[in-house]
Amino acid sequence: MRLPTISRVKQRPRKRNWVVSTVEAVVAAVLVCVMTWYALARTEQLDKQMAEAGATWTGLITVAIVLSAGGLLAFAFGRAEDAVRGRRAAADTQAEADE
Amino acid sequence: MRPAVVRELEKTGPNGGPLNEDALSRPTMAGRETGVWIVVEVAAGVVVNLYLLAGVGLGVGLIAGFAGVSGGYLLTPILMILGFPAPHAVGTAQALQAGNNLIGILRHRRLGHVDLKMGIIMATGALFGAEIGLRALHHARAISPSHADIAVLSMMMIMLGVIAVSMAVEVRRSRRRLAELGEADSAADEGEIHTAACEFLQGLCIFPHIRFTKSKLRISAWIVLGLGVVIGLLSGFLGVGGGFMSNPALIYLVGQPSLMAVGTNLIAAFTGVTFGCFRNAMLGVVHLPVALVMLLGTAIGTQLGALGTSWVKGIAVRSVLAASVSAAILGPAIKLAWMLTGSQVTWLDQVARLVALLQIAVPVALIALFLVMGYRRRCGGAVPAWVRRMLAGRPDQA
Repeated sequence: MRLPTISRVKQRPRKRNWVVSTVEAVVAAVLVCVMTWYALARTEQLDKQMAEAGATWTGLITVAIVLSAGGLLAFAFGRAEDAVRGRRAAADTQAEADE
Repeated sequence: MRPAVVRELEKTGPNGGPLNEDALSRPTMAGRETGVWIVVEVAAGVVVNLYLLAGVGLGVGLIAGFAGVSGGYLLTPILMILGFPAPHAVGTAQALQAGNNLIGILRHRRLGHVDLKMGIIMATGALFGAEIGLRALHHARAISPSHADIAVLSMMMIMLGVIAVSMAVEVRRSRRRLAELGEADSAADEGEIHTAACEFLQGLCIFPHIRFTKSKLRISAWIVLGLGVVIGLLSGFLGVGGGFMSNPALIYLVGQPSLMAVGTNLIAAFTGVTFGCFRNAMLGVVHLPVALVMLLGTAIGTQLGALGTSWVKGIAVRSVLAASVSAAILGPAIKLAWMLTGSQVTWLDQVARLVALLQIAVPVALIALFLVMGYRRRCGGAVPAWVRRMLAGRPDQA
């Protein structure tokens, strides 16, 4: 018997609770805000650390920070979308149950 | 030991001004608080308000999200007009766009609009292009700081002229196509477009001739690679994503479906700007706090702008893009005039700053108008006839 490979198994989209999605979105957004605040508040300290680290590390750290911020924001928006959709679905289900 | 380009750059200050020893050995981004306002020192003696930068980011994001563009054509000139020297403006715009493009790629991947194979080949070309563009920019800067500023602003104006012309051609072509197809068949307009150029290029059997299953086409890898090099050149020299050129090229020359072209192009643009950001950060010309603050504004603006597109018709989107591109030519033109007069006519610089803010404010006001009118229409309120034509929804909802 031929077993299905992982790619052939149709994965069902994981259902998330809208409250969990909201919390995830908020946490990701707060993390980005904290990163931005830290970069602003500790500018001179960051400058000094980067200057000590050398050019290649400065480049790598800068790219890593920017991409983490972008990735976290993408995650936050994705979860916020899921939360709105989940909230609407929950409200519809509630309305049907009430009827 | 620092690279030769950096050692050369340290000899002169930004904008041809006094020598600043720290100009490129480390980022000049000392954040200073003056009351409730935080200002960032972007060059020797040039400070920019951080809230202004966040507002500019939000405005650019709103326009970009609404018009479906990356907004790079607005960012670099505005940063330069606000006082950033050309390499600093390009480096910061690249850092901002690296984060922003990542958000776009993840969104398009979720929708299945990314041809990864083609994207990787284009990205390889973009890496080479970005390095060449970056070296050209820093070489111009090493000759004279004002040379780099003038070169970037001139190229930006040429680029915006190309966008304006291509937009006019595209609008005329789509109107003609819609008239031929009729309103009912307008959905068919979204699919593949077969031009004579794309049939010729797909027919060129230059090894390796690769089949791209997701885009349903077969073309030589060299053509795709070449396109990537052009994107990289633009991102390395100007700090833009280059979507305004590569998207039509992918659709009309390569023959890729429109939606797939946007997602695939994002991979090349992302690679170009990320590599450019890395290299510029090595040279110390990326303002990380500025990039992060603007990224927050841009990301929020893009989401709001994208939400707004469901309330309007395509013609409203094109109107906003046309207003944005037309206004965006003015700011760099005035700044260029200021530079060419030897930075003597101070009022030209002030006018350039005002125009730069207006070029964000006017399209944002247009978007706000469309959204408010769209809301009024949905609530059954009266809407002027000229606005009604641009809003989505049933005609009897007026």
